[in-house]
Amino acid sequence: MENLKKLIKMKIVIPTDSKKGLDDQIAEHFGRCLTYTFLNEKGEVIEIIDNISEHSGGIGLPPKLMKEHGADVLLCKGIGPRAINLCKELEIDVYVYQVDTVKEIFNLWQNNKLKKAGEEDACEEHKT
Amino acid sequence: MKIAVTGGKGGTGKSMMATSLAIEFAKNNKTALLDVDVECPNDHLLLSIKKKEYSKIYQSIPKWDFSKCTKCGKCASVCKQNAIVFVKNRYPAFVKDICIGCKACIISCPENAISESKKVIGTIYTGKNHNVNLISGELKLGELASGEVVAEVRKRSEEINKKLKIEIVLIDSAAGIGCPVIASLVGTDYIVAVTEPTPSALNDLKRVLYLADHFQIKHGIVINKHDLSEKFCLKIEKFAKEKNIAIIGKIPYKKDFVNSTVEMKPVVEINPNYQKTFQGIINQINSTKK
Repeated sequence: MENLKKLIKMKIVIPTDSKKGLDDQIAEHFGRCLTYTFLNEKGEVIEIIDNISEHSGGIGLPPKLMKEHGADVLLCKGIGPRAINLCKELEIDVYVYQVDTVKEIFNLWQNNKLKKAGEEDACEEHKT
Repeated sequence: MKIAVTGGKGGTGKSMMATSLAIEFAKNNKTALLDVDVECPNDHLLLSIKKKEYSKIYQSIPKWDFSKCTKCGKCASVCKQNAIVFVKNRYPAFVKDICIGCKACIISCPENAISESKKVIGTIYTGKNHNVNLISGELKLGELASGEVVAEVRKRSEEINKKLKIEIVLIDSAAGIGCPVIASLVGTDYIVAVTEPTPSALNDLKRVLYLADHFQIKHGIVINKHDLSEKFCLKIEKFAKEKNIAIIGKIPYKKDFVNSTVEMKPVVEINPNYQKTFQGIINQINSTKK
């Protein structure tokens, strides 16, 4: 499984607030962040985009923006159940975990330390 | 006769008034009480009713036939709720929870690839106690269309009312003045606006009476807990006089009402003296029929 992950081409997106790359802090909220940092399956930064979704005054929901940039996997600290559902529909696998940096959460994911998020993993304040 | 109980502000005693009036009405007429505070219905608790499920309430949602879909994205572009998300070269993604059933996507699809399906948005319960036939609506958690649920409960209640030969329908509305409240008020013969002597209650009362005026429905004010502030009570009475609205009842702030809620017993069972008060309100309502 571990080796498989390195073989398949994948785009991993992580919500961030600046453009510092691997050492950047992960944003607290997956949608209300300033930037999205995209990594490839080897953990190299491929692009960092501004969050132009509706959560920052733009148009469209964040998962739509992520998918338009080809995201297959979303690694974040907090996300609501509806967004998890939408990601599922768009075939973006979501993993939620509390660590500080882009590098840390990517390493955990790459080493299969994270569990795929379902609705029950959504943050408390987003549950209805 | 259909009578709506509303008031604007929450906690003024709408449900107490609706259940108490229902019990008094039921002494002489076949009476139904519609609990359409569908977000937090609890008239069944005030009346100690073990409610039974009567039916589910559905809302239309779209269903895609991907063999016909050309991935044009039109359905997503017309969705005002953002329930359909379109990413180029992919089939549209649908978030069921946010859909309000407007069907714009179905009409917009040039390939006729979208058909109608449905999702549950609420439940109707029924029960009976103190001779009152309760019909209670409940919104499914997380759903948005509370107004739709109210309208559906009222529509479905017609068949029950016909079967039971109901003469008086009391409608216990939610607080506020929004969609679910409007759905509770339309088509009624009389509105009982329950208020209390506080600035926020008067403010909200004015807003809900604006609705009553707009729909040209006869209405009267009940001042609950009137002795909380005699001074402010006069202010409400002054407002009513200026606007030529009848004050059809005044109810004191007494522990009996708290005990009634705690013990799940009607207040007239705790203290029969209140029967006169509620009968007085009923007489005032009946006098407007002429």
